[in-house]
Amino acid sequence: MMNTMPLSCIPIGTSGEIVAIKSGFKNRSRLIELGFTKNTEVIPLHTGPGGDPTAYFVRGAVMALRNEDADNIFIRVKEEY
Amino acid sequence: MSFDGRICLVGNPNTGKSTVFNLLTGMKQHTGNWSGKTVGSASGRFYFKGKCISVVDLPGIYSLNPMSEDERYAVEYLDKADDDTVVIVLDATCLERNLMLALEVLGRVRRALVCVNLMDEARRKNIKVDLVGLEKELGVKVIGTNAAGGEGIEELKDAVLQGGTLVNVQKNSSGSIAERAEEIYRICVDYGCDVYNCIDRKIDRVVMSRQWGFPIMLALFALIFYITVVGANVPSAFLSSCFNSAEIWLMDISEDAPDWLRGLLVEGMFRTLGWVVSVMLPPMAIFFPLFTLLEDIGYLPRIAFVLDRFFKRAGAHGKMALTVCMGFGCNAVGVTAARIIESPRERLIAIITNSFIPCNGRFPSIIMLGSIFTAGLGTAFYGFKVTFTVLICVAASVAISLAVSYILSRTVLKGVPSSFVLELPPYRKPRILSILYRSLLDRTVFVFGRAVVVAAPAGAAIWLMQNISVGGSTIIDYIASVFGGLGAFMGLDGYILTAFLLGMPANEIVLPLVIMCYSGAGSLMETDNLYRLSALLMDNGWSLKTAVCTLIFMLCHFPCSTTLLTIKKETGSIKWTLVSFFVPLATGILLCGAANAVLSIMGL
Repeated sequence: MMNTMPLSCIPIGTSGEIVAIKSGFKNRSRLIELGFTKNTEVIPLHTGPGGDPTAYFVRGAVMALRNEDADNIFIRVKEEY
Repeated sequence: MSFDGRICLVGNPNTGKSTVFNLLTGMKQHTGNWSGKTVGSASGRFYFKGKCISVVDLPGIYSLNPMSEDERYAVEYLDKADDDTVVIVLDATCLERNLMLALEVLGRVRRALVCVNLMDEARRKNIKVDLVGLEKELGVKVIGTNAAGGEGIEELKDAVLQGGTLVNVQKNSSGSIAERAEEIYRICVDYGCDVYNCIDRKIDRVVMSRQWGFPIMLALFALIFYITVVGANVPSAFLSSCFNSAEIWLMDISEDAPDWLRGLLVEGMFRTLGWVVSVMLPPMAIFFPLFTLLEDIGYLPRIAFVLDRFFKRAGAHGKMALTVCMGFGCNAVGVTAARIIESPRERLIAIITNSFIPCNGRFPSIIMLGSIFTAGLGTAFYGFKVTFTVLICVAASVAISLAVSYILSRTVLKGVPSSFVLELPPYRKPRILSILYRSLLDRTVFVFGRAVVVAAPAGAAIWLMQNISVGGSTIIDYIASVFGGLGAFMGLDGYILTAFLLGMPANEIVLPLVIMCYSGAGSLMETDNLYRLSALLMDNGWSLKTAVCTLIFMLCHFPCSTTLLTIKKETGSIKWTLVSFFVPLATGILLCGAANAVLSIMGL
């Protein structure tokens, strides 16, 4: 069973795959250029002191996003056994 | 001058383009370990096998659809550079993303070659890159380099000389650039690095953690300030005694010269120059390289990460933390760095509020006032107390900067914070000795040169104003009395305000000018003797209150002339330049007035 959820909600250290970025989100094209493309693997690495922002591993780089932006990226979490 | 070839360096931010540039040209472009260090272009040239090749270093870009000013610059250059061989610089540790830009650029330019940089870092991280395979897949010449270590540079020069490869645009119609990039990545890269447990992540988990992120940042800053405070004493005392001896010698040999000329040249110009060089230069020359080290390691984006919630709450852009950091070195640099901020509204906020951040030229004054008034000379833990004062001032400056950003983003520059992505670079080992040596030397030459150009004439001006009387009072007394009312409201006096005005070309001369005003044509001040200095200030009516108000005004006043010119250039608008002038000034007057009132009530 696959479950899809916003990137901001997946636990630290869990790997997931990008399903989609909400269309109409104004930063969408930039995120895609930065490597947040469909089917790409993303791993949340750590959160900032206030629980925000969060650093993600994506395509060999570490990128920090504020949670309200990460809300717009949908992730399929690899099935946990 | 004619060249036998032209190349330009393109690539994602922080892939080492400037390092490659420096290695090719032997020049010394500033490099740093964060995305957006290079915001303008640099050009140079190199000679190889009897040919002269011109090189242009461009700001890093993520794609050919520019979002911010620095990226726009790079893409516009690329569009016009038809005859250039485009050298695409890629980060070997991050090819999966870098290849996307490489493919995009290859679809747009005529001649290109690919330089896979940071090969040493990739090896260390157990990432294997198949350069031959990459060459086959991309269809252009591929060179592996480690620019920081000088590896692969001959091959790169050779490839450049051959003019790269004529790009053979094969329309890989199947799939998007992202998919093609992934395909090539899978064929050519063996990624053996444990993403989650590698050393960088372990450091990050501490340095950016909930418990330790903030304390570690403060401790690092405190350490830098402490080294600056304590380390400056020795060169300061030495320089001071040199200048004192030189002044006595100058007075001796000029015995036959007219009094006014001796006064103007020696007591006016030379003494002020000596002041700035012996007291102001050492802290500046020590702080700057230390801060450069932090930048080189890759710590600055971590500061932005840790402080982000404050910037978010202030309605400011997350990358403003980076422009603030650059402001500690020089506000003009901080203003230019604001190009990395995509949204024009937030970029303006970052520009307007940058002058609240105490630049390198203001640090020595903060240290000096802190030493005399808040730490108490000669008391126990003196160095720590001074450090603490400086730390408080810096924290206050960032807080004021954020508070003003908050007000701006809810009034004249209304809007919601735009989304941003902050790249956290890998930690890199700084080349400590070369950085310390080079930026120490750079700073010393720079500050010394500026002291000659700015401090000496200002010293002459003060001397003239002290010695020319109109209607019974000297010009300086007259001007000071004009500002007297405002000065009294702000807990300062007319002389201090006059010094701030005259110090507009360079903040490091403000305090020396105040002292010049007070000491008049009197006896020679031993500049390294803070006790004498303290006595002089007390004699002129200074108290703790005056010191606090001067410190506040030191943080919040009009930007220096260089910064103003930079703001004019960056915003292209007189209106915003004026706003940048008056916002900090008004803030300073109000805060000083408030501090004066409160401290007066407390009876200090």
